[in-house]
Amino acid sequence: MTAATVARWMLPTLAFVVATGALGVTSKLALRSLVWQDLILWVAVAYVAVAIVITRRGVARLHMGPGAPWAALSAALAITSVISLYVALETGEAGTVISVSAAYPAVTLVLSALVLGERISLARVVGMGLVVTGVVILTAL
Amino acid sequence: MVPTLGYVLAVGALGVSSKLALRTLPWQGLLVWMGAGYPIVLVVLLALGDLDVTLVGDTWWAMASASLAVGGLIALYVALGTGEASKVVPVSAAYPVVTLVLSALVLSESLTFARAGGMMLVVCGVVLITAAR
Repeated sequence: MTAATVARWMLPTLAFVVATGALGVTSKLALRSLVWQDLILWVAVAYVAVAIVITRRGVARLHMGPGAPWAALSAALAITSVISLYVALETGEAGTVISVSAAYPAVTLVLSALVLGERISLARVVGMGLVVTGVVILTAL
Repeated sequence: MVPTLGYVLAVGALGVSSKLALRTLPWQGLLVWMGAGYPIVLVVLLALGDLDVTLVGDTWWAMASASLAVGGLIALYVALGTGEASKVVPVSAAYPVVTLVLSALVLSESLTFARAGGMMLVVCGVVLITAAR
């Protein structure tokens, strides 16, 4: 694999790491004088703007095919998650809230096994154990 | 803690529902659905009287947060489009490190050994979950 090939996925992945990592801090700064509903307003503005650009460019549209219910559920879950995160950041410290929130792959792992029939290997069970232990340490200490 | 667990459950389930949606839709289609969903939330908040559109000093941080939330998600989708998920997802799990460092530098939150250790356990566990077969 060439450096250019690695850079094609590594750079946007690092952009995600920095953006999502900084999100907890900027949200906390905003929540000094705003409430979570105000933050949702701006996230909504941003998503609507992106959706308009995507649809106007013809890249995607509001499909009503077989995947639509799952896409709608995904959107509902994404919005619920953002609201939950902002409510958590209103009272919790950014470092703790974001670290605990990073445990979500453990939930995906269980649901993937239940809904998609994916296999849970011993290594993944150990990974879940590490996640749960980390969350306990973060919340107890 | 309760809303944080709500986040963990919602995003955890999001991975599965997105996977099911992506069987027939492109990732941009999911963004369009989110663009359609947020106005509904705003209408509900307005109806409840919970939304007050006033510009204050910290509104800039709210705008920055919105840009980071959307920009981060798009970056992740672009990465998943060009790289293998088994490599992209473990690297992407490192974001709490950025938060922990920035929260200590910007918000003056304490960076204790226990907090750093707990965060590392979560990150290592996530890497193991996503990288293991």
